[in-house]
Amino acid sequence: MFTKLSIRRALALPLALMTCLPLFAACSDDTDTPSGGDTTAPKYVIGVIPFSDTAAEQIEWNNYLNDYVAAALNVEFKFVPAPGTDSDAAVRGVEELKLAGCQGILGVVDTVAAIEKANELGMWYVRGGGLSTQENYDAVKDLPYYLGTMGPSLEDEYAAGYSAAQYFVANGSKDILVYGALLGLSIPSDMHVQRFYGIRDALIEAGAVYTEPTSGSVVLGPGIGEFATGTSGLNISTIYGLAGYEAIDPTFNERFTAAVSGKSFDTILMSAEGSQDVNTLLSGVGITGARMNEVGAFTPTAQASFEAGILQYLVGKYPSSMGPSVVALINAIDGHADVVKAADGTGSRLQGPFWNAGSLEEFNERMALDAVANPAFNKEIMENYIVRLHPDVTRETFAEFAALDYDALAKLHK
Amino acid sequence: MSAETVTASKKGIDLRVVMGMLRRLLPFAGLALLIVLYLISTNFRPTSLHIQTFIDQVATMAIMSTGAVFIFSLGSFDISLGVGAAVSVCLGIMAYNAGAGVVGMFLVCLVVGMAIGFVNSVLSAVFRMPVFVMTIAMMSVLTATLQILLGGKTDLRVTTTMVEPIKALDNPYLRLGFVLVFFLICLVLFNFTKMGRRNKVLGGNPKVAEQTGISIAKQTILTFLISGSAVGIAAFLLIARSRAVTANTGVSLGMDVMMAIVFGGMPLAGGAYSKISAGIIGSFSMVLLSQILTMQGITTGWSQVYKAVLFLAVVFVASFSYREKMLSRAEMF
Repeated sequence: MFTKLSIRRALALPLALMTCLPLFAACSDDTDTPSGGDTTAPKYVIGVIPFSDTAAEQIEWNNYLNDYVAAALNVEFKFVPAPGTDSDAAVRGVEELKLAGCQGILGVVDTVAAIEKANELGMWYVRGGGLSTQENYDAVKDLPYYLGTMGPSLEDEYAAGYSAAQYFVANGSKDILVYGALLGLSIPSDMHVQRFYGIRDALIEAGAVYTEPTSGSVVLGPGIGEFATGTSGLNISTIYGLAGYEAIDPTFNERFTAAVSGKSFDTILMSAEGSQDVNTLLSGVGITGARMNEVGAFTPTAQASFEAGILQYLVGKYPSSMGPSVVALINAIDGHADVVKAADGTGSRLQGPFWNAGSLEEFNERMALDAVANPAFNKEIMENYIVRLHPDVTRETFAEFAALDYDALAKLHK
Repeated sequence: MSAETVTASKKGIDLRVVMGMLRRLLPFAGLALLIVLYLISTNFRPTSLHIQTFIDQVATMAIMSTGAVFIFSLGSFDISLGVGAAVSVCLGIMAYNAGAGVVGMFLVCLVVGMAIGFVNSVLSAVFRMPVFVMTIAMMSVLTATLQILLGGKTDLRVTTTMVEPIKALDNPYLRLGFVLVFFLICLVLFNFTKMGRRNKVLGGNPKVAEQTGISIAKQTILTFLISGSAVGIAAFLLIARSRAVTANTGVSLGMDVMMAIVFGGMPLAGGAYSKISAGIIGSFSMVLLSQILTMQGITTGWSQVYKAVLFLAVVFVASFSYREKMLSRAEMF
């Protein structure tokens, strides 16, 4: 018989599904496209393996690819969920992108098994948005379908940490907390390590004394040691781990609170992004007004941090910095992988520099060059390095294209 | 004729009977629908690559899900299965790199998987700890163990000079063989032996099971050993596939197994209506769904929304009548 309970439950499912209908409708791929797309260009299908499904940096990259590049260069992008560091999930992502008809993959992850699988399936693979570790690069550099890495070099990463520390010390910082990000966790990252080394060396140059961590104090991976004041006049504390990533570092908040309680800080030197998360934790223990840097990305989140006065110095990637990686894939799909790969046929390690901003004004100035409708790496600039359209493109000119910095891009836009 | 059916025929259609039928048919209907959608997505011409990829992706999940059905039939779920597989992968690769050979690696994976299952079962059966809560704690322990085994490195890979025999294992027919053999063994154990019947009784009501002479401790240990063997075999197949382990290997697999079992029509409370086919049906459905969404170019966020909505719908149907059918354990004793 129909009981109240059974009727209520029977109605609940259709009602729940009806509630979801607008979501399904919104799932359609009707997106506004920029005008002037190259309708005569061959249709390319490129897969994207993101490093995160939610990080602001990745979302800005995705928006640039979907909302601008797709129409400008006649590319269809297909995405799989971010595999994190799960190698099996990354391999599954590659397989699914192959089934979806992708000719190449723009991977923002550094998983050897995934790159090997792409090679096995005959798909071009470029590691965009950053570097591979030397060990991973060595493992895949000889694969025929591996194009290489495109993004800031290890030297850029080091300089990002160094310049931030130098900036704050020169601007009167006294009580400093150094945030080591992935150092000390089980996911060592050459990028974070180099940024920390940059910070460390700038502080040592200012007169601080650094002691390497003893094995007992290192949780896992390369850890952070301790700073003594020395001749610097600086009080420096350290914290390892990631704020705002509970899945990776579930105990960070407790460690952070223990490390900062009872102290005062005027500056937080960050080896990664996350200024808002750190600021929230600081506020929780009554520390306000600390100045911070970020090594991250030019995103609305960073802009909000600047506007809130939390962030004072940013070194980071920007939404259209993925442009050269897409052009690399297009060239490879067209049969011109030689202009992307190194002279000896191995995967290249092409440099794509960071942008810097020391104020909200500088931040806004840079973002103006990277507008959604006319990004820094726009259609005109990118097409100049597509061999199909410009047969005079060489390995050297392509490397110069990938290495265009803010000033060079600004000149090209004038 | 059951009392329920009599009620239905005498007083018209009982919604609970309809929903019960729907619950039983839904997994098969869902799988059939997904197969049709998959064929449409491939223009009715699935290539050998489609089939190979499907087998590659489904094998690990199907084996782990089938093993996990035994635990699910007790009305419990082991949330540490994914990370348990990762630890097995790690130790399997270590053994292989140390010269144990492929057979040695397989045995290490199997023994480690079963050992983890055994520890879980002892904690559950002897110390009477709730399985779900206990395996959450075990997940942390196993994650830490994996990190220590990795020794601060990003990953552990099969030594380059020894990789060829492992590459030879990356074969869809081998995977399919493992799935079929393991499923048949589990089918017999679950449906045609005392062990399977006792599991269903125990899942239906532990007090009743105890009073009928079933040893809860023994049954729990056996159940976890079967599930552990599935974890070990899955770990072996994972090595054949990616030849590496990272700190997060298996994280998504553990959750996928739980979803697959529910998609496959497993009653949420376990017990008499538990079906060994739930693992296979659910795994096939999950992999097909995932591949269809990617082939259709559904972006990541929306793909997850689709999966979540479908999961909720299945959970709703699966849970429709089981609460009303369950005996009140508190009132009985």
